[in-house]
Amino acid sequence: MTAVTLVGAGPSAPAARVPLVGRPAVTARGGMLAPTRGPHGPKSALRVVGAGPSAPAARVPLVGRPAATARGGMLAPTRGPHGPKSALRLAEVGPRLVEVRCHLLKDNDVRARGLRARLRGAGVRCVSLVASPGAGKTALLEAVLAQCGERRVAALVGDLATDHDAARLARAGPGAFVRQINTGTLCHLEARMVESALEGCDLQQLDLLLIENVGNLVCPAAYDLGEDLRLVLASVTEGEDKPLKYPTIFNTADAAVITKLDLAAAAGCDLALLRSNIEAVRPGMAVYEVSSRTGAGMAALLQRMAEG
Amino acid sequence: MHELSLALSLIEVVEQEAAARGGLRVRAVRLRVGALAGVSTEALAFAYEVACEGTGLAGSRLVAEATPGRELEVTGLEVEG
Repeated sequence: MTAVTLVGAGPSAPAARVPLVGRPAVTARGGMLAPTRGPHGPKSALRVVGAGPSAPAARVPLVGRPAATARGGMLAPTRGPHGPKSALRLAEVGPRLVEVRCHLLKDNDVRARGLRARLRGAGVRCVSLVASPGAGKTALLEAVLAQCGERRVAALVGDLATDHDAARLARAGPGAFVRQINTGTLCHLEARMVESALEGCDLQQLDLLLIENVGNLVCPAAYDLGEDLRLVLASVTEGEDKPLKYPTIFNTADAAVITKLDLAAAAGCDLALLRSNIEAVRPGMAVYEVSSRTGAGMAALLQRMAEG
Repeated sequence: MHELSLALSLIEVVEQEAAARGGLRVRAVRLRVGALAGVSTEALAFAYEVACEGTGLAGSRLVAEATPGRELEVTGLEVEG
């Protein structure tokens, strides 16, 4: 929850760049504005906030007798360069910092928590996949759908454009609830997109919800989608140092999956090095090695997906 | 990489907070940007400046404090009056 309190200017409030001349003015909060002696005068406890380049009024020295404003602030006549046009300006009535505690992704986090509660309430496990484009996310989901048998599965798949992946998944899992999410230019999925994509889906009829994020190793890290398990994929063709280059995504995932295992020898991938790089970035992270094409390693991964 | 959408979220959050406080005129927004938040402060400041145009926050600026964690959090508003 957001707590809002009023506090005075902190030590980092911008220092006054505007000398205040003439009578001390009463501020809106009942304090006094002490006249300063310009840039070389004694350091005043009172400073004027916001005299930055975007506040032209603040560059005008305030002179003469201030007048009270409706809000209790002070209006001072100025002698700006343009005469009467700038006759009245709101005086600088003291620095004020409103303290706010508000997570920038609050809306997404709230929605993700709601989703998670809804899914758990309906007994649905939710697994999301993050990886770079071409790492084998869709192929892995095709393999999962093909092996799910009696399990009731839904899949949501995000891409900037086309419904190619949804078409592939629908072929792999006939009867499964499959929805494509087109993000346009957005580089990641957000919880509200998952909410929308699930409209019309009866969660009571589901066991497993799969979400394939947009191919991207950067941005999806910041967005909770309400999943129980987040898998980060790294294919053997991408180079062993992927985890070192993109540590954030590995830090926000629950387990890693090395994909395209059948190509490891052809790609010259040093699997031990890849594993140790994952371990270096995220000590203790579970690593699954699979080939969606041959089915190698899929049983262990499916078990993890089912149990969290 | 997604700083523009973050800037739009930021504007939304700040406008809500300013309105809830009786219509504050915001000069600067202070926020903490964690090293692991995946956010470039420079890109965010640029996106914010562009996205602010035409809103009540036009001309306001971002004051970012670098922190070590994953946080991306508004901590204060420098306001007029």
